[in-house]
Amino acid sequence: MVALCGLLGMSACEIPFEIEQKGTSLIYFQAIANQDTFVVYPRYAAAIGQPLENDVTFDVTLQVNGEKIPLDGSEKGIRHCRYAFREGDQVSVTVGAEGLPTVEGLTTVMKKPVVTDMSWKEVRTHEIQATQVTLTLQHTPQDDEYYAIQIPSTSTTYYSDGTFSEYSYYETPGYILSSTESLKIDPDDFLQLEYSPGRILRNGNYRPFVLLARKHFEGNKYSFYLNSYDIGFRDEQANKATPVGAKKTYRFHLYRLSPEFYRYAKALYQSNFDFLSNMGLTPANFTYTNNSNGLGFTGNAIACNPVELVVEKNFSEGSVPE
Amino acid sequence: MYLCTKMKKKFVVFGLLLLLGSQAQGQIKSLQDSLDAARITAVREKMRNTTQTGLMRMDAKELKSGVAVFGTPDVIKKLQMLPGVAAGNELMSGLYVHGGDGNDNLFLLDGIPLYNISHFGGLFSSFNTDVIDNLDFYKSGFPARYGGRLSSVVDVETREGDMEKYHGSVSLGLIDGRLQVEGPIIKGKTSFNLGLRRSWMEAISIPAIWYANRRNGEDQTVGGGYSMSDINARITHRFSPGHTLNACFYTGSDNLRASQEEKLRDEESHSGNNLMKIGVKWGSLTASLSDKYEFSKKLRTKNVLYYSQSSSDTGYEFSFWTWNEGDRITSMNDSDKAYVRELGLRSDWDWYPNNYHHVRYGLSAQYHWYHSGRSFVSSTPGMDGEPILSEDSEATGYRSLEPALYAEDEIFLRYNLTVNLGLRYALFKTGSKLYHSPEPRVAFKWLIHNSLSAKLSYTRMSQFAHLVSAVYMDLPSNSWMPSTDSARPMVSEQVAGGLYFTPHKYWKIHLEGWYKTMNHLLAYNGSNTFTPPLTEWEKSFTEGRGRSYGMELEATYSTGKLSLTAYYTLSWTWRRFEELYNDWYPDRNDNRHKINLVASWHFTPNWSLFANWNYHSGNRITFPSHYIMEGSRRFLYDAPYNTRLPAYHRLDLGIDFNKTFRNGHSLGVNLSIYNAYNHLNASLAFLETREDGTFYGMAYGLIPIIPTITATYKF
Repeated sequence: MVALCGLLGMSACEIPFEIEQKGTSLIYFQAIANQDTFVVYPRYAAAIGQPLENDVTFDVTLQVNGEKIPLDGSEKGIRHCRYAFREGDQVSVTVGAEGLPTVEGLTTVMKKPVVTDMSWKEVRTHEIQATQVTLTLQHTPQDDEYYAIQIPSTSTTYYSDGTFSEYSYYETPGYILSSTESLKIDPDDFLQLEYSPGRILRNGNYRPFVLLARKHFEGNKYSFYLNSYDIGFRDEQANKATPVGAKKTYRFHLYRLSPEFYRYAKALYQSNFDFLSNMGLTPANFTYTNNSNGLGFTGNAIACNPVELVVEKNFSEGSVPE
Repeated sequence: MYLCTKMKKKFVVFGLLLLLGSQAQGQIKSLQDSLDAARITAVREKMRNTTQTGLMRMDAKELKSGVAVFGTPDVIKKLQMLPGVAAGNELMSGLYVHGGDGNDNLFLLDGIPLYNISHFGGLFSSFNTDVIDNLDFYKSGFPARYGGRLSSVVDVETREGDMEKYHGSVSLGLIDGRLQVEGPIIKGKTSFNLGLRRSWMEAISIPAIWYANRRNGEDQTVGGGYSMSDINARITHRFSPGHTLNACFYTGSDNLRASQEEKLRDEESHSGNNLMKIGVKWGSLTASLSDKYEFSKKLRTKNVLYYSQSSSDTGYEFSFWTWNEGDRITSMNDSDKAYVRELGLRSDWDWYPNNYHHVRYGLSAQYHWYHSGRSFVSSTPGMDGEPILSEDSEATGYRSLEPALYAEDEIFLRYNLTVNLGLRYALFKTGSKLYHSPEPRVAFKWLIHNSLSAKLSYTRMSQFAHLVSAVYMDLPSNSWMPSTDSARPMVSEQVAGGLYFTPHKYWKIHLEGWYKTMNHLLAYNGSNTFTPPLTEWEKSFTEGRGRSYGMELEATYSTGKLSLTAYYTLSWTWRRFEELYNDWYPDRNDNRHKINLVASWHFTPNWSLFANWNYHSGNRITFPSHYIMEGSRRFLYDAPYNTRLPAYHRLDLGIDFNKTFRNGHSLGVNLSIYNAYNHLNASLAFLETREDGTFYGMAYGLIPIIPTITATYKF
């Protein structure tokens, strides 16, 4: 078998070919409603083989339940407004530009999720020092419900001279705790992108946003791990006083996603990381759009009231207090 | 490059000369010619005079002759050449019939369904041509006696052993060897037919591994190998000319293993080792007992009790020494097991009440066990030095019952008008969920002229078994699962029709068209993985629709000695999965044009030449359709499979030599050249950017010219 693979590898040759692209340039946009904001991000999408047009003015219209809502922002970039969306609101977005087909997207606002309980515990081995958190929802997610979680945190270190340092960033839930643990975790747990209200991006480096489907829940509970190695080790005032204690504050934002948001985000993730599909060996599922005559998507992501967890550590006692 | 082009030209010229030469030689008449021609004419007459559309029938001779890739005649590779069939990945056992998904073909071996029909990831099929008697391949107009799959039926019948004398054959190919023996157990009453096939790659890999270990010394040991084997057995007992009992058995298996062990020692005389072991086994097993009884010339029956199983077992073991932590060892053990088992019973009846009716009816019942399980055990040192054991397992299991009834009547309305009316009614029960499927089958034939007939058929098929696979490859990690509450049975409807013309006893021209719709198809929508999730597997799939339409042309000139066939297919295949894209898009195997030219020339009793030329429009791949600027350039995708790979073409050549000795034994040598002009066809592709910012596709071809030689001794 090795010999055969070697033979095939040695004999491989490159075959350049022209691609059949008859497409025309289109409008691409992301339109996302949150519980109290709406953001649309339009872009000129040049067809492969055609030049990019940067100076495009977009005409954007937002309607909620048939009523036109005014938008702020630049005609050449992001448009937004504040609006108190409620469950069941019908959100319609139209984006036009000169010489391009007008694109329309629709979404129905989801119900706000309610977290009724949060529990946590420490997990420690020689490789792993983690905080296991469980969130309990008011109701049990169904097959057609989609969620996502985002966890901003603040790490504070206290020093012997009475000063402290603070560092804020986003946590990555489902962190790969060790080579052993990583094999136990469903690959879907790593459907992770970057999200700031109104915009979703491919790379999850700064504001990780982990997509959750019903299978990630056990009944109405969702459990995940957080890396707790770094509690108290974020010393930005090094060479000054000795650290004597630390505190870490996590804020759990659990989002209920509209199906189109989830599908688009999943497609976006796969287009970036699915190397088997990119080679044509597995189904290429990164083409989702619910915008008519264009690309991108229109969806909504409604967050729960943030749930806070504070973990404190006293270095003199050498343990994390309960 | 120059040499390559020159070689290609030479082979093309050689191919043309071969065809021209064949045509000229075909004018020579002989007694053998006449006999063969009579046989072929009879088959054609039969085809023209039934209502059946979309049927290709092959006998053992046809299946065994021609080009043998790696020295093994392959049933699936023969079928891949036929019109209306797409092959998918080159050299694999893909069979995408009339726009099907490749997992929707009913493979029957002596009437028993086979769930896994390939070896070595699809390089070879499980059918050993040494023991096959004939094969019927249905692409449309499915008779009511067949059901359970959407797109095709491949009905393979093995041969009864010789009742009078012992004989057999031994073959040695490039990577496997075969043995076939048959003869009487009780002369004139009971016979056996036994076929064995096994790869012999270990003959190369074992010495290679021994040499590698010798070079590595004691501190590092590697091991591994691959083998595949098939055993077919058939025992036939004739109670009387009209009463026969058959016991059939088949088992096929693949075994792949690899290991590496590294011995470690440190300065403090601690010792340990790193170990990695991987083992994969997969295969099929079938057994059946069938009783054929002829009550009279007007009524006969066949009753079969059978068992069929397909299973896979994948495991790995990995452990390593942790130097800094003393004697602690981290280890991992993973085991994946999957199987589908089927216990079935079927009773088929043939009844000729008068000259105007041929009635077939019967019933079947199958009980299925579906199982897929994965277990994982790991040991890793804790803070106190004690190992922390981590065990994790998941399994999915179903049991289901699938009874079905059918009846069909071929009614001869007038001398030139025949209609076949049939109905199949199937039930499927998994857990508390019960599905039922009425499946009408209708076919008409109008004999316009003695040499010309027109046919039209309509069929509805349903499929209650789904292949859980994340890749376009036949891997052991794929498993079968039944329809469940959320995975509905797949359903297809197909209308097919055509003209069947026999202008001369040497000529046959068939023109067929089809339109097919498929509902509740499943497409994988999960993560980038070779092993799809087992629990709640339905969540990783999305439901959608498909449609396919096209026409096929088959023109054959055959004298017995010389046979020239041209197949042409013009087709369109579409899919629609709302979760992936909100409109219809072309399927991956949407090969618009497909041409196959097949020539065989038995120019002396001892020598035969074969040539196949295959061409089809390239498979499709998903490439970016647009781009935007987001700091850097970011690609966007509109429809799936929006780009076609370069067209596929390949010439295969084969030559057979047979020498019969005075004692009746014979020696046959087959020399085959796959991809004779060494055209590397696109297997993978990427989007590339030129210096001027424009884009082009870069495909990679992997399969070069493959010459093989096979020797067969018949005794």
